[in-house]
Amino acid sequence: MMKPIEYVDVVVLGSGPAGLAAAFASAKQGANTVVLERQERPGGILKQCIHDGFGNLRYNETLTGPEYAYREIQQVIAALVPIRTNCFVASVEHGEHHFLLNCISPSGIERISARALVLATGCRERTDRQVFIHGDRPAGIFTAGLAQRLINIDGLIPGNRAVILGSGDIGLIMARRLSIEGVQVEGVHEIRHESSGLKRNIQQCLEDFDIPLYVQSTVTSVVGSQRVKAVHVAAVDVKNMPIMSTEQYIPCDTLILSVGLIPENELAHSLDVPIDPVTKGPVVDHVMHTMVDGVFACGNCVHVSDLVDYVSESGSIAGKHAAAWALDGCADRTLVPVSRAGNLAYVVPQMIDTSSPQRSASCYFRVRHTIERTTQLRINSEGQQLDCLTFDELYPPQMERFAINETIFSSIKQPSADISIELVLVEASHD
Amino acid sequence: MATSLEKIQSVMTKKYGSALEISTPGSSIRLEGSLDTYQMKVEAGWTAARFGYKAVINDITVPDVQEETIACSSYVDNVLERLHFDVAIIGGGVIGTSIARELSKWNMKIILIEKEEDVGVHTSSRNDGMIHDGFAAKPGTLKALYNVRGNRLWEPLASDLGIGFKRPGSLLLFSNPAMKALYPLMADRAKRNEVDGWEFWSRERVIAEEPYVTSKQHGGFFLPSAAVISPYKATVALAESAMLNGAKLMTSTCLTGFEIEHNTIRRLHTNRGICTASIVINASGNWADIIAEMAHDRFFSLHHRRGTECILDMESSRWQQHIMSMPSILQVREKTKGGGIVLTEEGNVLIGPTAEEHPGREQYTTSPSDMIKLKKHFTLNSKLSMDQIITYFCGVRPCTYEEDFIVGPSDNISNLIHVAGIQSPGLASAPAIAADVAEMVIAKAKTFMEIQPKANWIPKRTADIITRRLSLEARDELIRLDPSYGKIICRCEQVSEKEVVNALHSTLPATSLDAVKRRTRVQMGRCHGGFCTARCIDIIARELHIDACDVVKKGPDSQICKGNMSHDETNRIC
Amino acid sequence: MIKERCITCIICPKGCRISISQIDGELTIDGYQCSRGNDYARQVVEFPVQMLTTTVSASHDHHIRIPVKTTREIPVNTIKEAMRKIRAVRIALPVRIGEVIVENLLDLDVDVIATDSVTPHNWRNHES
Repeated sequence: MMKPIEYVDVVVLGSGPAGLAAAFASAKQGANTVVLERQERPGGILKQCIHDGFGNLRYNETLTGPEYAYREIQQVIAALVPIRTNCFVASVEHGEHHFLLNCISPSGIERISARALVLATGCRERTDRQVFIHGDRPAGIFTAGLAQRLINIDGLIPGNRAVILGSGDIGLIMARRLSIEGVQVEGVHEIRHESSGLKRNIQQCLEDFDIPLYVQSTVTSVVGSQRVKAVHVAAVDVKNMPIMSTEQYIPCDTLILSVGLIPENELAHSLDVPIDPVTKGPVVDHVMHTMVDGVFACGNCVHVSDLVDYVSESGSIAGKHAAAWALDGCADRTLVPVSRAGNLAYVVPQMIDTSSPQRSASCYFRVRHTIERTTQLRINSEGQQLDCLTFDELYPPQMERFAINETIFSSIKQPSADISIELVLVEASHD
Repeated sequence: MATSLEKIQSVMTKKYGSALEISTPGSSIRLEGSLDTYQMKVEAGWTAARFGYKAVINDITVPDVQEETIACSSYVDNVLERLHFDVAIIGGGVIGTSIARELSKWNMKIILIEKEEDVGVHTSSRNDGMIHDGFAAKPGTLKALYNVRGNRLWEPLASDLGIGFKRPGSLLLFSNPAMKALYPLMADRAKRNEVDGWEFWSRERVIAEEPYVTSKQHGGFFLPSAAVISPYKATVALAESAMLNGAKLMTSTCLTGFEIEHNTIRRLHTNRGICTASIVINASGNWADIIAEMAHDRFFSLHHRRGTECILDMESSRWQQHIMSMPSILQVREKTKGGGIVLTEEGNVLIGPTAEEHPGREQYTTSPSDMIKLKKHFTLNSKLSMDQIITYFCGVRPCTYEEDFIVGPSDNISNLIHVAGIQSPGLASAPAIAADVAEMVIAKAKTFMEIQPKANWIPKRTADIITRRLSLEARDELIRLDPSYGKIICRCEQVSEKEVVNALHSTLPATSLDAVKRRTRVQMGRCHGGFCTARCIDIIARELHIDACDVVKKGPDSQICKGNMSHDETNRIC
Repeated sequence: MIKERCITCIICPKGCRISISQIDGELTIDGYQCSRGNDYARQVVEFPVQMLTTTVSASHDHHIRIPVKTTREIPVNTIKEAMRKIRAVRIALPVRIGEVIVENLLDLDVDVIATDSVTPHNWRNHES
């Protein structure tokens, strides 16, 4: 006989920074909350991010990943929220005003019925296959996150001589980590014309360790039948296509890829939660409520953030409002879409619920192209400008945040046919 | 009737100038000389195959293409020294293992030797898993004969082996009204090949069956008997079934030579010792011509046709119901069907394969041009797109120049049977080929020994437990028996820790990460090992009592990690 | 020899872009808005420092890794030596977050401390 169904108010899926913040916020509202974690321990990917640089915004100090996770976990434990590790959600059934989760755990099948769900499932790494690296398929090809886990959790050194493709922060951090552990890092190759990592990381992870960064350069193929023997690298043209005449043979035994993250939304898919084609995460309103009633989402499964502090912030919002949804019953939402124009790649949230008691919103965006001049971001409604913010420099890899405060929120008109919020980037005039 | 040498000389000279020298040793035709490219060499071989000889020996040299030698496992011992076997099978692909299983029904001492660390590592795992209907094979060929027979045998066999089997059927779309007009011809061919059923589908029927099909179709030819299995699971299961019935299976064992006396193989030299066998079966896939040469019986040559296929995310399978392709009229004359959309037994959509003549027998390098070739198949279904690709891989088909199978006893060596040139539809044909080969062996064996069918032969192999396919109730019960069935280590494919442990302790145990992958599907999902690799290394090291540094991806020299921080400073690097 | 580069000052959130050029050893610093920026740039070039984070083994089971960090930034050119020292350390469990693992590392007046709490049982599980 299977264990009986357990009834709770809020289930949080994932115990990374987003899930932990959500669980704490939900419990604080008085909701009966449970966190489900498929890994052996909570903390998500923070546990393997042993480097420092976390928490500047949330804790006003610089913490390592494990330290940040520790604080968040302690908070959740203090709030008496159970964190079920080794608990894998195999499927979710959407009932009337509830969700039934079928979970696999070493103690058997657990069925949990919840009024509200918070998806905090994070993201996964893009692989060599997904960026179409060809050639042989030997041992010695790792995604940066896997290499990080092997080194920091399992104490294993992936190779002796490494080439890194992709200069996102994880790639840079791994370049340093490998170097510190005595691995010869031949170089970091970046297909774009500049690194997508934080400036601080380029300085501290590459320059301080004399690791060269090659921009507009990519790995074209891998050589070696059993273990990587070498990689071919080549410069790329304006369309990011390799220029074969520039191809070079780099002997190495390890290739590490830091070529992007993809939000994990398999459960969202199964619940038919609408997904933003740009962020690849669920479309959410300003309280992180997806377009399916009762399903909230936060953190990197919504859009990939560059700072954990933002992830936690979105978790807190999601948890608080998931609890409210579960406890107070289901009010109708009045959703106003946030449309964007020009150089904006995306804006999260994609919707504002003007009927929500939450009368302010944290918004995040990324630009498509670098703007090195001062720029304005305008928030308009019905042709009327509500607010105008100034940014000095904008880079596509960098996520920007702005807030819609209470005054502005209240001036968003109730929806009629043509009301929307518009974000337009305009280059500031020099007068 | 074989064409005269003079006539052949004149045809070949017209085509290739005086570059080639032609001779007719035995009943074969042999080409020598040099040509500029491998493609030209293969074409010359095809031309020679039309002259009516038993087989083509193609010794044309091509600049920058070296004749390859078998890379023998570095493992050396003498466990086989002085042992005698009634039958020795060389090669642990789907053919060798099928034959081993068939022969295990008899009271004979059987050995199968495989040079890799696992069975089914090469062509048998690097294909689309299709059990073809038998329509595509040229009527009258061994391919046509064995394909249809094999198709009928696979469903009960899969059930005995405890592996999955699905029969989605194959739909050949008509790309234009002219193709549609060919229907009677197609039906006639299907009839001649004794294919089990065929249907004409109107344009509307196709839309009803495949809602996302391209608008450019004009109906189709449906072959309901086309099926799919997991080719690597099948090969492992066949090997295990043979082992359960007493066959000896030696991996990491490579044939290094034969001792031949009076046109009979007396001894087999291997890296594991010298043994004897009364009957030898050459089932060595892409090396079959080399093995034949080692037996002084090189009457054919193989050429190697590479195929690349890509696998889409599990999600994609909800938009495709049948195996589907749109062959062009031109392809009727081609050597292969040209690939298409296949549904795998495990629920992925697979696109491919390509077909390209390439000299590497085990060279699985993919290139961007392969992807470009696969692109066209994506247009057959409006929901499929390149960004659903989670991985791609390459396989090599061993082909004779006659483009047919060779199944039968050697003309020159009294105790050797060749099973060679087993390209597509080799997987589909395997059970039928194995049945025939077993008959040949039995007939031969009866001339020098007493043989009887085993009374206690076990047809059934216990199916591996695949928890994701079980009901919640069944999973719950299993977890109560062993909690590690409830510990999911591969999130994409929902593989539990116990399934990995089982693979490491099965009848034919996995010894590498890739072998675990083939048996359990860890690393096969959308994250492609990003999350589960570290956990698999941990479990493999623990279960095999080895250092984590010694866990390999695929056999010797493929260690996944190069250093272990738990060791002391001096031996941190492994 | 001419070496040029641009750095972002990380002293305050303003994040000034500072250009540094070294022509035959002569240092030119430009783009800072306060003297701290100038000092920062000079330090970056002449005396880079950063936090060192790594892991150490548990004494009873060397497979168990405990994450650690230096209490302050240390000169980059001492990291190699520091790693040699830290790698040799074996820690008895349980260990508490913040616990000193190495005192006064290389006489730099910096300690190495644990950045997580680890017990023999929880190293792959959380504290219960």
